[in-house]
Amino acid sequence: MSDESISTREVTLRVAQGLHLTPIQQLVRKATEYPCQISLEFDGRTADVKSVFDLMLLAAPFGSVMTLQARGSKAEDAVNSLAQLFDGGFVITE
Amino acid sequence: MQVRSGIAVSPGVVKGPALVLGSESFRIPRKFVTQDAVDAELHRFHSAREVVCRDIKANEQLVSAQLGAEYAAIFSAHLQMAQDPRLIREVESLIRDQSHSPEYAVSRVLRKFAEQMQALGDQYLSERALDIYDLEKRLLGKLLGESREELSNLTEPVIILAHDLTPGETATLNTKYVLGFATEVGGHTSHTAILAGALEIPAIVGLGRCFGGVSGGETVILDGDHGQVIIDPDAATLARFEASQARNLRVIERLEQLESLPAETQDGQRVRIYGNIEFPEEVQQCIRRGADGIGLYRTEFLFLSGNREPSEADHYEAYCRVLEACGDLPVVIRTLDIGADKVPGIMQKQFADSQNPMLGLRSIRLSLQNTPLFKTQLRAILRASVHGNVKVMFPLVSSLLEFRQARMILMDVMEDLEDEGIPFQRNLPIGMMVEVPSAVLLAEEFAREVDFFSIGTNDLIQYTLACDRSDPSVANLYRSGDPSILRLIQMVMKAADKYKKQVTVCGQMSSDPRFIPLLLGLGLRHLSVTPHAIPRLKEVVRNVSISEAERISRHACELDLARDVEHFLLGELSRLCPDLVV
Repeated sequence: MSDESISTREVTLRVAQGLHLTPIQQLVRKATEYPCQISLEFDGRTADVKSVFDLMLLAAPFGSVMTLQARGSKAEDAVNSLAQLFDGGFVITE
Repeated sequence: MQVRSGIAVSPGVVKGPALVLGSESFRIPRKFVTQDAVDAELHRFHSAREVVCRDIKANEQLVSAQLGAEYAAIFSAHLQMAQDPRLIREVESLIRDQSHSPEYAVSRVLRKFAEQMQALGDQYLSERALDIYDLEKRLLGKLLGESREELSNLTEPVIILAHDLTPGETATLNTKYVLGFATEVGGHTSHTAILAGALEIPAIVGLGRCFGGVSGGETVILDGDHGQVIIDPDAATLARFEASQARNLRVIERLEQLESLPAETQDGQRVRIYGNIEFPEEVQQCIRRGADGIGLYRTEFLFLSGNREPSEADHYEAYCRVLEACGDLPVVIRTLDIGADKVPGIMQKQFADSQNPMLGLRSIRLSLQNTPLFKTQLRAILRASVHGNVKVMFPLVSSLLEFRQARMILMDVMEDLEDEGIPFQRNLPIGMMVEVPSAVLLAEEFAREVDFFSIGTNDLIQYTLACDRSDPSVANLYRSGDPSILRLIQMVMKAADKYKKQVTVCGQMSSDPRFIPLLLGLGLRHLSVTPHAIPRLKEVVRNVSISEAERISRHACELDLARDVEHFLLGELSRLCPDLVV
């Protein structure tokens, strides 16, 4: 995959308390596993998914529709695995 | 003398000199650096940040080892914040482009984040601002070469008064010198409050702005039982404190000797006193105090400690730790007892805030509507049941149908395990909490079907008197001594007696020494209480006879006002155990 690849996906936040610390921790942990730049856009604002502060300040409530975008190497993998967290409602199942 | 009231989060009464920690405990000496020093200042910022990350990891391990992994989760968030790319980028840019000192840059950036967070108008996120101030303090501490040194260099006992204590500071408090602490901010459920309770340090939070005029060294009495801080007590208050403290000390010394003695009345009736616990770590505190087992193991923390449903393995592991520590002593595991809003995974179901959560989808109702979640917990309980003396208990049962459904699901899980060849205790006792008036009214019908009852007085009082005790405007209506409550307990005892079923009382009422003679007189022989109350209750049991207790309960049941009942019981207690009446 080339370094300039871009991958985008729309996701819905299904966490009753909104985008609070626990889902944010999961997002940051997962995002930092990838070398590419990853952003989350909501309500006209864009946050770096590797930044706890950026994500907290989005203050996205339950039901928010957001755009996940990655740019750079492994962009598609990154978007897929982050979207999985959203799809699963941030519930980890073993 | 200044008296302030706050939220009591960890019990105990202590006196000592005040150590005041201001919220502005760091003075930033210089705002700007010379242009040629920029590289050196950037380097200083990065090494401070690395040390902070190391400290946070060390804190995480310390707390994990002392109190368990559940508490340590607080610190992994702090670590992510300290490594945040936006933080690093903005601080670097202020140092490089604006010639700000690292101290000033760190403080500016983090305070900006905290203020933005507080301005979002989201209660949860605005509480996280405290975590950001914690990080600011840590970074400034390293940069200025002084942490809140008052805290780490203690040489004599003190009572800490602070605007706020961070979870990091609370976890590393030197319990040898810190007698207790009081903070201006914070609530019941703050991380700091939870840690204080687990460390058994008397603590009060949420006092509101009040330490402005305190400079340190003043004598302070901190009453963690009633949530009161007295600064500069007058002679009369001090004398009262000294007298009650001297008495308490004698009592504690004597009570310690009771630890190995059985809870037996004057006329030889053995009474079982169990501990109420929330975390496996608390079992030791119960055993050390001579508990007869665990009468109430609340399993909610498993569901609250992360944003995920606990796996069967999570449940199983926690239960096994409790059972292992208990040996042959009985352990009553209560299934999930919280509302839908608190449980991850099924939170999606809660589209709007319930208007009336205490009457909504919670507890056994929630379990019955979410069978996979319920079955996971039951499977773990059943698998653990071969490792000890386990009983299972369903909370908030309000109709026979609910109890039958819950039992049916338990039977299903048993069948599954049998098919899979996994061992479990087939005749595991199945009980229910009695905490809804309907369950009391139908106690006879329930008594035919359950193996045991446990009366949860907190909810029973709330539902019977229709009163939320956390609402200060009606809290005075919430009375354990209300004649209606005594009547309900009598009804449960009568029904249980008819079908020879065991009854335990596990609410806060049973942790209050005043009510022990009454409960014994009503026929209770099993009490489940907060761990630290065990020795005191044993003392009451050992000083009363059943015939005396019956006389007391007969008289109490003839009174028609809660106030009169409680006053009478206090009088009886001061006659039986004068030491326990403060």
